[in-house]
Amino acid sequence: MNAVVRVVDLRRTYGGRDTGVTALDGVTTAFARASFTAVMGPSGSGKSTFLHCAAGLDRPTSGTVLLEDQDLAELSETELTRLRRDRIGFVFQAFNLLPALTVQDNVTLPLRLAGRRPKPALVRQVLEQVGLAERRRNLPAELSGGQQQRVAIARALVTRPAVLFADEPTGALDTRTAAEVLGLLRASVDGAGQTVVMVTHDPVAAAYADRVVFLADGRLVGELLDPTAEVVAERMTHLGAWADRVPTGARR
Amino acid sequence: MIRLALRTLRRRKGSFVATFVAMTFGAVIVMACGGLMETGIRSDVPPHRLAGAPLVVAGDQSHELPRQNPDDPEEDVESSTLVERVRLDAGLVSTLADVPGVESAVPDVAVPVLLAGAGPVEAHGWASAALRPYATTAGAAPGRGEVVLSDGHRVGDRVEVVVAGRALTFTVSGLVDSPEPLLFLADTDLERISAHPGKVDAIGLRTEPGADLGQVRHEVGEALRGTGAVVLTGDDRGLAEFAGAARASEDLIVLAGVFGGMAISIALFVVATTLGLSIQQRQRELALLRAIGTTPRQLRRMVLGEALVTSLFATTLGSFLGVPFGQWLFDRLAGRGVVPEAMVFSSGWIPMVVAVGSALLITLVAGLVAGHRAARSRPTEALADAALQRRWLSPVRLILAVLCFGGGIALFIVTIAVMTGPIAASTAGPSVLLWAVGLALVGPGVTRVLLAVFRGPVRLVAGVPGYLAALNTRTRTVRMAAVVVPVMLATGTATANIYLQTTMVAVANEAFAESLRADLVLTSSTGGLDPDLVDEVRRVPGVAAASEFAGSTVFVGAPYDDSQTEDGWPVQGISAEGAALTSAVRLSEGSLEDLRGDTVVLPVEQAATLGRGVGDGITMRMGDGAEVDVRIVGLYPAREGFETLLMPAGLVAEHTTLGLPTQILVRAEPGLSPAVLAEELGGLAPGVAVADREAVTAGYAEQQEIGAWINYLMAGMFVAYTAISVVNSLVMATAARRREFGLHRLSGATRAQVMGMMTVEALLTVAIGIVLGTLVTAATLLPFTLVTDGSVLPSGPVWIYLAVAGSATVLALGATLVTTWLALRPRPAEATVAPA
Ligand SMILES: Nc1ncnc2c1ncn2[C@@H]1O[C@H](COP(=O)(O)OP(=O)(O)O)[C@@H](O)[C@H]1O
Ligand SMILES: [Mg+2]
Repeated sequence: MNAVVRVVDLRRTYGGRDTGVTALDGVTTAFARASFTAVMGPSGSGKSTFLHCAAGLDRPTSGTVLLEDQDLAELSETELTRLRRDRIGFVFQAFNLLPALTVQDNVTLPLRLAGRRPKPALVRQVLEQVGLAERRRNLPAELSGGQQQRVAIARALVTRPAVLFADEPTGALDTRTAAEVLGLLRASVDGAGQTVVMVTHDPVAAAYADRVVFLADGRLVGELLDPTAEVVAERMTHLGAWADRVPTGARR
Repeated sequence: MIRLALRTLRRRKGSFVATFVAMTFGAVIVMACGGLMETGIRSDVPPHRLAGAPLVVAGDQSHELPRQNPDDPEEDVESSTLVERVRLDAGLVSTLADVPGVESAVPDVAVPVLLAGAGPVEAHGWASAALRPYATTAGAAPGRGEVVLSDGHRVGDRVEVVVAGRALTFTVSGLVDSPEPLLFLADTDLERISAHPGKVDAIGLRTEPGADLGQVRHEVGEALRGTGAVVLTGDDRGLAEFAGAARASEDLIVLAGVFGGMAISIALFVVATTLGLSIQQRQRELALLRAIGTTPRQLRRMVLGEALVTSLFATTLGSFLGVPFGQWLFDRLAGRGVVPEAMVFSSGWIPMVVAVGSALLITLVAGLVAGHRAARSRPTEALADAALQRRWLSPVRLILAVLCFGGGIALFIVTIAVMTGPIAASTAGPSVLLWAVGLALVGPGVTRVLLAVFRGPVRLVAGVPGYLAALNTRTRTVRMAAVVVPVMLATGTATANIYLQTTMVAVANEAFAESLRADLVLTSSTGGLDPDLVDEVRRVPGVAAASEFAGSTVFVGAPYDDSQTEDGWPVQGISAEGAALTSAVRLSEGSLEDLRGDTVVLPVEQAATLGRGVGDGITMRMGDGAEVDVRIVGLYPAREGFETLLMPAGLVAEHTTLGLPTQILVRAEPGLSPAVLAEELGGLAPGVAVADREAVTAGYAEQQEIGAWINYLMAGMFVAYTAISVVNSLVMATAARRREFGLHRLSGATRAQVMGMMTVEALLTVAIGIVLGTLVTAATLLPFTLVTDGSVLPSGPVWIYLAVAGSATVLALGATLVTTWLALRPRPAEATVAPA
């Protein structure tokens, strides 16, 4: 399989040895090029932690993350940052943009951080892709929540990253604007062969993906290909019930 | 990167203004101190009366301290400034007149006199009038028994002139135009009333037309070789006119150095705190930048670059404001007579460069620290509530804190073990800073501990707002500590400095009162008293004993005095006759009766250092630099820190600027009321005032206050500066919580409850700051008070402490509540969506 990201036996604990919380408990999976994967699970199941580790925002306690066959653990903080800048795109649930910078400046920020002069054609193309070419001189505060998320996606895509990670990108949006954003992500996969990994707890959002992986209590507990919202929702309910049955001892 | 930082500045006006203000004021203070230092170093004193003489010859006021081993070329040569005027031999006048290029050499002698109806003025010889030159506006030159005045009289008037308590009558022969009151006598008359016949204060040289000044100066220098006199030109000439100017400029250099150093440290502290706070508030933004690929190095450079750009503007502004502020400080000092009014304040490019340089250096250090913090922010914090900081002690902080406390403790021990008397105060400045910085470094931890102590009672007393405040402060300890620190610094600096002064003044006053045995003290309004007057006083019925008094500063010339500093030793000149009754000094060996001729009484300790005893001889260098071989006639146990030498009044007075004793100490017969005797003595001589013990001690205390006043002024400056940083950080911290206030309002808190919550928080902050500030003060003052008066508490009214604490509270409450109120004005929903 032509995997862009590969994680092996990923573990992440917070806090001390005795009192700590195990957020990830041995996760192994891979994300193929030009695939759209949704990561699902109940709240507190470790989705965000997983995404942070896979994206090199956080260092796992143990286990391996390979991005295009590069082991992230081998990189220094600065090298990791550069890798993030050049090869990884990121969209958070909120607070994605610097409020003082215009749409265009926010979008080109990763290029500028890399010391590159953004090509106007590229910037225009990316902004057109997210449908905000006319708003490029506006400040984030002048945009709606959905538009802001689209700007964040444009920024994530501008470096043509190997993979785009999104942590509940539609969590704060209404259904209609959420659909716009999800459509955008889908289009980037279909049109430009972008690899996307998205955390969500919304079955409708997950249905946009090619594949859904389920997390519960820091473990991978299932997988679904070509999901539909109904199937995902059904699995989630099941998962919720399953998670409830887990004895508290599982949380170390 | 910097461009990015500057773009985002718009969104951070509050913290930008705070940083800017902190930097500007820091630069202003450093610049002002730099200006004072330059003034001291230049010591430009433009001549007034001698303005017409391009060259002025005067005695060299500086001298070298004796060295332990004169043959050792390695040993540092310490030089010092003599406090009394170094006079010249009158014979030098004719020597100088013969130097090629010199047209005329005119001696100048000043005699302080009292002009009836006009007050104290200086009398000069008529020949010296040519040195300005003063032109007669009416009448003619003074002959014998005649006088020329500056104003207020008519030719032919008879005026009374009091010299050293003796009244003389002169006829006004002419008038001159002079900006300051002056009096010219015939040169022979002046010689007669001078306390130093055969000596002159200075010699003004007029050069021949067309003569090359540099060349003449060189020739004069050659002619002066071996005489110990120096040639002055330009704005140095005034040094010959205003006795004490040289010493004052030296004091000014020390003063400026001490306070300039303190200014730099405090500015560093304040700027670092402010920058740190602004970084704390940008945590989310910084984390986002980290997440999308900003390297730690880039973040560091961004923070540093932004700080440096801000500093460049702030410092430029500050260094322009620094000039008038320095001038203002200088004028205050001149107004109090700390520096001669004739001295010119000069603040040129050097202080400017120093101020800008040190401000940039301060910013560099503070910016590096802040940048380090910024770079440490983890990218995942962009998603979490970034304002929540859990880290409250890093290893680096701990190490630095330990170093600071170590330094503080070392100063504590050194002060107690090595220092005596008022000198112990010299460790206070660095001590305050070390303790304050140390506490600031562990601020979050200490704040946490104190919060735990205060939280219980607050929740009990303050209801819902108290409950909310307690919760807030628990989770936001780090943020709170950032605001506690300035409060601590402000209260610590204020109380430590003020009580230091009150204690010093109290100790000095006590020592003075202890040393004063006299019931009455006679002083002259011209400064000096006729040497015959003391005998007349003794003849007055009811006078049990009377002693002359003259004070000066002397140095031990030989043998080598290990305990001697460049400040020399204070000396009291007293009369052997009557000393037993008027002086508090009790000899452990020898007798005050023998204090006649060239003799000295030494503190026991000093004699031991010198390895000399009663009957041995030592060489003294008197106040005017003259060397005198004296015999030790007695030893006494001196109060630590107040070691004073005793010599015959005549010997001391001879080597002072004035040339005369300044006081006569009188002891009344037992049973006789001093008040009655005072009346009797009052009529004895014109221009002589009689004061009783209370008046004299009060007068002394007033003198002390003048000395302390400079320190109040400078400390006040720092307190004002730190107060600004208190307001700064409170406004910054409070304004950043707009969103939180909105959330409180949305969840049902009334405006009053939010205000109440912030009141409780502000009070908690102030309380912790004051506790820590008090701790700093205690650690600073304890060794000092232990050394000087053996007590644990400083001397001084308790209201000062209460006032400082009260002001801090008012300041903090004001800054917090006004900002909160402004933040609460928008409707809650608006506030929550507004960018943080
Ligand atoms: N910074 C942190 N410190 C301590 N525990 C954390 C931290 N971040 C997450 N956790 C814990 O790790 C677990 C997984 O969290 P997270 O990955 O955020 O879950 P999700 O995103 O699926 O809701 C949770 O139990 C959470 O409490
Ligand atoms: Mg999450």
